Amino acid sequence: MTNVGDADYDVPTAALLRDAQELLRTENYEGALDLYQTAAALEPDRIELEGYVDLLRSRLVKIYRERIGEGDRIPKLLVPSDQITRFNLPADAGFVLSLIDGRTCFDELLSVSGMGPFEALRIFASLLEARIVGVAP
Amino acid sequence: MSIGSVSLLTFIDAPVVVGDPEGRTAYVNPAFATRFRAGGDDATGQPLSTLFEGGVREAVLRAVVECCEQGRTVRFRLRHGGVPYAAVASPIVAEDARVGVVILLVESSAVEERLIALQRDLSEPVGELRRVLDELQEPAGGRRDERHRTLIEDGARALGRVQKWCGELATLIAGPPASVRPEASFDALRLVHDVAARMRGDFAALGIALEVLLPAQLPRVRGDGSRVEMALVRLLQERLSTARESPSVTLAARPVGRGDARSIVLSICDAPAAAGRAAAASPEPVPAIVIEIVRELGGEIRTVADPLMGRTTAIRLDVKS
Repeated sequence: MTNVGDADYDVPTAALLRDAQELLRTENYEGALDLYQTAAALEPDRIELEGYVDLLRSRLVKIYRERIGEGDRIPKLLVPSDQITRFNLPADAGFVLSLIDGRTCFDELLSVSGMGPFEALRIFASLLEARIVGVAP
Repeated sequence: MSIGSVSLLTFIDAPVVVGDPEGRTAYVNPAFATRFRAGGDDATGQPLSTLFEGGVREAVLRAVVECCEQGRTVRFRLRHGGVPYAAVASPIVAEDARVGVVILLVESSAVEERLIALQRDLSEPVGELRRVLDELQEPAGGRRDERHRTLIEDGARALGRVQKWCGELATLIAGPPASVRPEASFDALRLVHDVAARMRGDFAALGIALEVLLPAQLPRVRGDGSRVEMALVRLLQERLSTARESPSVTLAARPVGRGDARSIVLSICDAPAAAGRAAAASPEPVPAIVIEIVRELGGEIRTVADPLMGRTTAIRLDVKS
């Protein structure tokens, strides 16, 4: 077992991991994931860092699913399509938005998006949180 | 085996046995005859099982079966006449594709024996400490016991470090990895789905959800898929026995790295509920067979844990070039 913050990490990585631990204490899993991914890229030989990345991804998938709710719910756009550009969304979020037609449920959208579930759920959860997307009654 | 190479074996001081595909003795060198069959008949043509006795016979036959069935080198240890040996059983493929075996026995040094004993001696009290910490953690609920819980979590982290070193010691003792058959590769996406389908019922029976987290695509992975499947199943079985604090276990795979350094990481993750976090910070050691499989595929394996996140066993394997 390796513990984060061990003295044998290089200094930049050690600092990143200390910061990540602080974020974890406040349950900021997305922030912690970003730092672990950066650390893993800096030290590609440390497979334990990839292990932590997967732990956080699996934790976040559960959180995203909780935010989204049942997969058979149908998302709908809350923002008129001509105003979406003001949100400066990344390309993959724009693609997911383009799939939302008011008839297709989350599970089906996940399937047809061709994206991995982590990436797709992350986008859906962000769109819901930003209230760009809501759920049809 | 050619006459020339058999002749050379007569000069080797280490005992050597060659078995044919029918399980009979094809050859034993003088070193073997002297040490294992003092005053005995010529062993040629006799079943391999008659060359050894008791527990040694069992260990040798198990290794021979594994070696011949799976066509791979098997390392094991035995003791005969008070002398410890490190044994290697390697397959010999005959022209008709049937598999025989050559067994080489090398005397272990005192240092090697001490290392093996040390690893065993360390594992026992470490396991006991783990059990004690798990029990101590039970009454450590609620705010009043926060200090108590923190101490246990600190202890569990320190214990986890000791387990890490025990695992590395076991890896060192297991010896170098065997070479990878370059032509073999497998579809990791399908393999993970198959493993999950096979194990989901066992997890469900304990009320644990086995979840799968995969990207849309994965590159083919270098190595023997059946061996990786065996490793994942063993890891999941191991996790079944220790994951009862967790509502779910996730089996994940994703590509990492770029260019020539591309590989995939396969992970088994569980993030237990708060009550089980100290226990999760001191994971069980990875089964030796799993370490061996990953090494023979040229990969890496590591188990990591953290009270705030949970634990995961990550395996890195190279993608097929």
